[in-house]
Amino acid sequence: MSAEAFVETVVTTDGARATLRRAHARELCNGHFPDEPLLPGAYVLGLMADLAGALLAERGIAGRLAEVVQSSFLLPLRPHADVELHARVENESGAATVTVEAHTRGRPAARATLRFA
Amino acid sequence: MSIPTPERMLRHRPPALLVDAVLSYTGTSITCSGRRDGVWTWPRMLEGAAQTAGLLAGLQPDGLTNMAVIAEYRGVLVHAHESAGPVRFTAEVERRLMRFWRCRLAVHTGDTLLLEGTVTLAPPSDVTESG
Repeated sequence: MSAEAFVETVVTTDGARATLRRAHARELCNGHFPDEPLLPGAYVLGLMADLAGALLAERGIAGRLAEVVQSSFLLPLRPHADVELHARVENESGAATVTVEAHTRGRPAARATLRFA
Repeated sequence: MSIPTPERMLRHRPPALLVDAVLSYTGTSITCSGRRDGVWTWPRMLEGAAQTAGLLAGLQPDGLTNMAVIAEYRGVLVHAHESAGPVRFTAEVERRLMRFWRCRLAVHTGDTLLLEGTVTLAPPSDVTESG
């Protein structure tokens, strides 16, 4: 997991939580878009996969992201607002599956189901 | 048909603009080259493919404007986590439902498939999300 991406990361066997560092968020938004900075959904998925991988490692499960099974985006994620990610393991028998939600201003903004293999 | 350059059609600007040029366009599918400026991580490949889908949706009759946003990604298979490139992106219209456009995506380097999946694009008034 990129050390610069998150200002705080808490990983336990039950779940993981991380707050996105604003400087990193601003970097990801460079040119996306000049008048209205917005975190690209694909990069949000990358951050989610990083946190999910850390959670699986804490549970002793090795693996890399194989599939973004499903993801949806509900609210804009802005670089000047807090973005917090929450991950939990849905299934760890066979291919591990992790669900990650992104929250901003206390509201769910994006969620994804990620499969690791 | 003369196709405007990606920079004219998309509101992304470097370094976020990942699509370099249109290589082919059939009406329902488009292939673009990726910019040659660094390593392609899988999120970057996915973002470039989504930009290509945005171009395609913008070229459709009654298509989306450059203010379109991503509503969802589905079934994105990551065959390679990283590539030195060069890469090319392909997007193909799978279906249109109301004002939502679902496109199949693929990213290749040479003959090697790096990533594939689907993206659904929406007008900003329908989904208030992330591009």
